Amino acid sequence: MEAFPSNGAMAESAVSAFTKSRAAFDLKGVMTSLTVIRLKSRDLNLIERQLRAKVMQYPQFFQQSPVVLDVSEIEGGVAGFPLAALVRALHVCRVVPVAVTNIDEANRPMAMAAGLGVVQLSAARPAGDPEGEGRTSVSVERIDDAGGRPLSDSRETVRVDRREIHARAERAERERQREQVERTPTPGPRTPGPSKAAPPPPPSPSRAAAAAPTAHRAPMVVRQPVRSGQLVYAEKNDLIVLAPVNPGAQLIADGNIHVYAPLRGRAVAGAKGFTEARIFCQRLEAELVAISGAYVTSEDIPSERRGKPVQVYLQDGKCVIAAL
Amino acid sequence: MSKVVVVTSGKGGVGKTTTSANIATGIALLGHKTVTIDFDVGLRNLDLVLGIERRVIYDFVNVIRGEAKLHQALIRDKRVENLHVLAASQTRDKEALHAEGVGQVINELREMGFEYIICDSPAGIEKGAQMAMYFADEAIVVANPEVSSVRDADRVIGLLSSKTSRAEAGAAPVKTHLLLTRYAPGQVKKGEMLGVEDVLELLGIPLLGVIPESKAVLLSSNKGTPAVLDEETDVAQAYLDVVYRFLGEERAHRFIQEEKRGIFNRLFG
Repeated sequence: MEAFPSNGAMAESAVSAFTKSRAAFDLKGVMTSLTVIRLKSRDLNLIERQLRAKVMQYPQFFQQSPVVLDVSEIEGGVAGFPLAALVRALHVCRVVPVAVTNIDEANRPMAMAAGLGVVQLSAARPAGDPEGEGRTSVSVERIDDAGGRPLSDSRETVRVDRREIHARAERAERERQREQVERTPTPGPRTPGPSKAAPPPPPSPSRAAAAAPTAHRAPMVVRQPVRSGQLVYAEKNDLIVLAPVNPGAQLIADGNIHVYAPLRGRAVAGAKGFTEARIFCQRLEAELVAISGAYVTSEDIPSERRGKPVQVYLQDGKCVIAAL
Repeated sequence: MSKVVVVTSGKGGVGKTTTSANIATGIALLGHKTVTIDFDVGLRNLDLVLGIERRVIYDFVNVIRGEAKLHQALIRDKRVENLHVLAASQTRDKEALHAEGVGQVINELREMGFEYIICDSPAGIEKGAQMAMYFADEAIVVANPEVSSVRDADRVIGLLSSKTSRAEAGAAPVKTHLLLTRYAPGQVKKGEMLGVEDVLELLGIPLLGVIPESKAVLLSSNKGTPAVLDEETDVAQAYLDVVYRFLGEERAHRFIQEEKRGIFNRLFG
């Protein structure tokens, strides 16, 4: 830090240097994952009863968890809704609302009055919504369950859907080993949609829709050989490689992996738990292939598949290596 | 316009120093003002291979640390007029190198009018090797037709596209060439050794040349005379081909096929 910056901001930097030496706190931006409760009924008692039932059923899920209240689907609109009372009721259930979302300007003061912040989330509903409209008071739908199974069945009356909230963007720079890798621009708030059509078996709508990380996103495309020691990570995305992947190289994708060339390194698809992910390659000579935790090493690749075009997918929790 | 060329490999013992010595000598013989720098701080070899070990007073690290001027450290080869050598320190280690210091020396060499600055990299991928490749415009990746060597070469080729000044600045990438050394066509034919095609399939960079396995390398190393100065040997011929190709001339690849031994060779060879 310069003591006497040449651009004439001397006074400013002197002040900030002074405050820095006496700072009572630091500000930092982080990204986190929060649960959203999308309110439907105005009947506080009904909400409380159903939420209690939910909490008893899944206590570990609700241990003083911070939640966001989506007020956009409240019967009759949010105006006049007893928000402060609801907050107290939720506290009793050991659920801690921290903010409101999808609230219009006019009604913002009531959020503040109830001690809640206001955040902006994607307004879209997840597709494959098994619940009908109007019958339930609160929606709880578990998305992104690591095992790919829905937490609740379709007759549950309480649904919560989980989305990501970007509070502030202070992304740590991920060291990329290669600058020629084409990156697609990160789209705005993720809109879950129908999952990419995959060859049989078609995944069941609710969990697939929610868990597909690759919906509505152009894949990451790599055109240069991936060399030994290099790592390519397609975050929340599919990965397409148009050149050989050498021994000692690693490909990781939250979605699917396609290698239109020999695959001689490691490939890990569905890295964050998307069990429907698949790996495709023109010539399987991989050191290891894995889908969401289940893996097959080179020595366990069936000899009739070695060196051939294959697709790899999960069946009953095990990797299946099938001819393409 | 001067060119910085790194001779690197990843794997040790494949022929980097031999190649640096022979290519630098060859380029200088063809009339270009050439300097070769030994980046193997602590394990210097280039001075031995070039036969100038008895004339080293100041070294690369002395210059970086300002303990000597560059012209005091540069050693002029007595046999080849255009060839100069900057030896490595033997007492220090690779931590003594840093990008700023190395960059300054290279800039000064450019200003002195050197057309080719050949950086002899140490083995490995740590500091010494990183510094040797950092300022490169072109790279000669040396590999033996052998699996570990090829794997390491692949790693190094990856690093050349990311851990260099050109990569960081987004400039035109470092031009990489493959030099396959210790090639024995007889063994390739028997299936005991990787062939040129096998290696090229894995590494995918242009082939600069093939240097045959030869006793001449050991002999010239011990004598301190680069093989290229003894034009009779196959190694000399191969390195001269490489030098011409590097400078832009077309040369057919020799030493890839097993040579047919004539009756006299078979009787007396």
